[in-house]
Amino acid sequence: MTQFKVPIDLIMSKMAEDSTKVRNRVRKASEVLLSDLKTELARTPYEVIYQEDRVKLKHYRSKKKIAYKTPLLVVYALINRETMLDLQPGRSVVERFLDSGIDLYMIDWGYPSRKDRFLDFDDHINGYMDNIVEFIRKKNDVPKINLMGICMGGAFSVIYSALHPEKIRNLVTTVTPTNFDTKKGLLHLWMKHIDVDSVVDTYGNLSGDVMNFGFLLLNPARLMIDKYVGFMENMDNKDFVENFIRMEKWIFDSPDLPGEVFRQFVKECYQGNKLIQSKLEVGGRRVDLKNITMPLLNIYGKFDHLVPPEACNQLVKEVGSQDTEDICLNTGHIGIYVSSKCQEAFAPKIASWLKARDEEPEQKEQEHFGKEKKTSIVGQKKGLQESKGGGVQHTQIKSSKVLQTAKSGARKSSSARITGSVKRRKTT
Amino acid sequence: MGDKTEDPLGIESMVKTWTKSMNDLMGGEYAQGKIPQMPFPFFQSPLQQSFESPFQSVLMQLFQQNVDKVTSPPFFWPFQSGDGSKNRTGTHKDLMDAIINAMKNWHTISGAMASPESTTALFKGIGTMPEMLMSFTQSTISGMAEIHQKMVESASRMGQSVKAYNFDNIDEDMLKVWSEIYEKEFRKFLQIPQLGLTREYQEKINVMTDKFNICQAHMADFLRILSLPFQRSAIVMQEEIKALAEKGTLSEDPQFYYQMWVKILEGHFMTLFQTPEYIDALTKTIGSMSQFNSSKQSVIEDILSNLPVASRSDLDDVAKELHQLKKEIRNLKKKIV
Repeated sequence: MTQFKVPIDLIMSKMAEDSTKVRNRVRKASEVLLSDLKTELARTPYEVIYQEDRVKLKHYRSKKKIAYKTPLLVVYALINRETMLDLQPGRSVVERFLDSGIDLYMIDWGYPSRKDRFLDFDDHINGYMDNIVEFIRKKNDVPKINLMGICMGGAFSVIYSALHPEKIRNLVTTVTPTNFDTKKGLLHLWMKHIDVDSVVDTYGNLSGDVMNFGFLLLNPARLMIDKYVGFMENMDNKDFVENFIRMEKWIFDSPDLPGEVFRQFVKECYQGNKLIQSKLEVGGRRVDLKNITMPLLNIYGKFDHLVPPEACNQLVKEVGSQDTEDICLNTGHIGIYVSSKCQEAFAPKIASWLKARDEEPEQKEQEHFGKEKKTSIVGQKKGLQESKGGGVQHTQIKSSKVLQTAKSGARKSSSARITGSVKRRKTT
Repeated sequence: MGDKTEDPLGIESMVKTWTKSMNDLMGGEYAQGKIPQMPFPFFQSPLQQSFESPFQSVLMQLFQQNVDKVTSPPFFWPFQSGDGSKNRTGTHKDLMDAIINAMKNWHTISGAMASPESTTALFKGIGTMPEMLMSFTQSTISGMAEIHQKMVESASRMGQSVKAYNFDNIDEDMLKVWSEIYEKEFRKFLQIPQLGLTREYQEKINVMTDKFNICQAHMADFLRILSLPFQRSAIVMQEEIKALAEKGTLSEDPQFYYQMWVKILEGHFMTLFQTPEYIDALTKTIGSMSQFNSSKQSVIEDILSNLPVASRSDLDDVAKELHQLKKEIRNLKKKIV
């Protein structure tokens, strides 16, 4: 039998060396942990300018002059909180949007309680969202607003834009699941088999803790072991500890998910895959993706384990819009918003994309806004005809070209590789 | 008719004699509390007095009090002790009347039984007794044997589910066998139909117990599956270390081995999470947890119905109505605007 020499003595001596380091680290870590840590989230100033039940509308105060005519409404998911977009100064999508001169609004869905268990898609989309859109339109005196959705909030934004296209100028979807018929993401696999009726009927709302446990189970080795080993190794570093605690605060700040929304999301989307097939019904109306005629920017992560690219990249093919762009970033579900590399590519890209489509409100539209309540459907059809009449040309180009049209700086400083496709309208 | 003279062989005379002797046996005057209580005769050993210490006497007294409580005649129930002799006399009289009535009944019966016909019938009846007893005993024993046989069969089926001297999948088999035994053998006892006024409550408790057991079984199986990547990773780690040792490229840095282990573990989890077995276990666990919680809620609601608090379903009903009203108002508002 072959004898292998395992350098136990060397390993042990290395461990002994390390133990001294660990002792020093622990001593320093105790100083760090007992010091005044700055771990607050969402520090960018804002005002709550509208509230309906638990739902609030935040309006961010920009230090710079508003450079966009069309305000942007960001719709976050009902899972976790929108504070992720404003983790800390210097690592904040909100900050970058404000620096670009965007007039920024964001929905804070609040913490659903037991009484909210019966609120479904219709209540959230045709109720809260529509009321908020109306409020912003009136406040800014604009016929249309820009809409940006994140994850489930992206799905809500897609549905809203399909049901109320006359109110949306541009649609931005980020890590938004629309095609649920894929076996790539674990959630897609698991949700296909879950008895959602039993869960909702029993628990009412889906507990935030249960959801978090489910998310941790997606990668226990990294999320439950390695992550904390990494923390132990760096707990003497104040910046690292502050960032880590901020992220922990955000991750475990999980509101419950209203039961009926969960039921609908699982049954209609994960199990029925109705959204991408334009078969979903919300508030008695069919969500026809062909109604999405406004420009669409669709961004997702290549390594997203929650919403894989296959769940996102079908949308641009199904919408009625002739101006669509599909961008796949080399990152995961959360990294797209918080990683330093993506920060430089993501927010500036959206800002420049919106700027390019921040059209001067036409007189026709102003008139249309005045008559809209009566003629919204007619107007919508007319708009579609016009866009078709304008001469539409489909072009598939590499994203590197897209980035050339984007604001400079993003591409230069970003090492995040971006791939995607663009379907762009050209005026002939 | 002349004055009624007491017949020495008559019922009343017999009863009086019997009562007197019983009274004497119970302590005579002692029973009425007129003479000091004596210790129980059993403890009157010859040496007792000479060795009796104050501690022993206290103990004896305590014991005696307890014995008195047990051996006191029924007409001296504790709650009557403070009522004085009047009540005691009245009770005594009632008892005497009852005994006299009983003796009269016995006299009548024994008189009737004294006739030859009755005696014949009695002996005939006695003759059938062994037969009747035999039949009764036989049916009881056969019933018991049947139950025993079923239990033995159940127990023997436990053995059928496992292989002897096979420890390949010991954890898996153990959980599987327990689930099978529970579902086939024990579960049906919880499903026996309940009867009577409280049947619904009993049934709900039985359902809750059943769901709890199933939930526990599914949860145990789920946790077992979750532990598999750790086991497999340990094996793969051994193989990897062996391969490195063969190449002579073993690292001295413990961090290297940790990173290797985490990577292997992650790979195992990712593979496991896509298997139908894991998805099945996850689905079953979530489903059984929901069912257990639902059944538990049902029992809690029964308990709450007797308390002045609203139950969860009451609040849900209110929330549902509120939700519908708000929806209608919203739609009406939009129509008006």
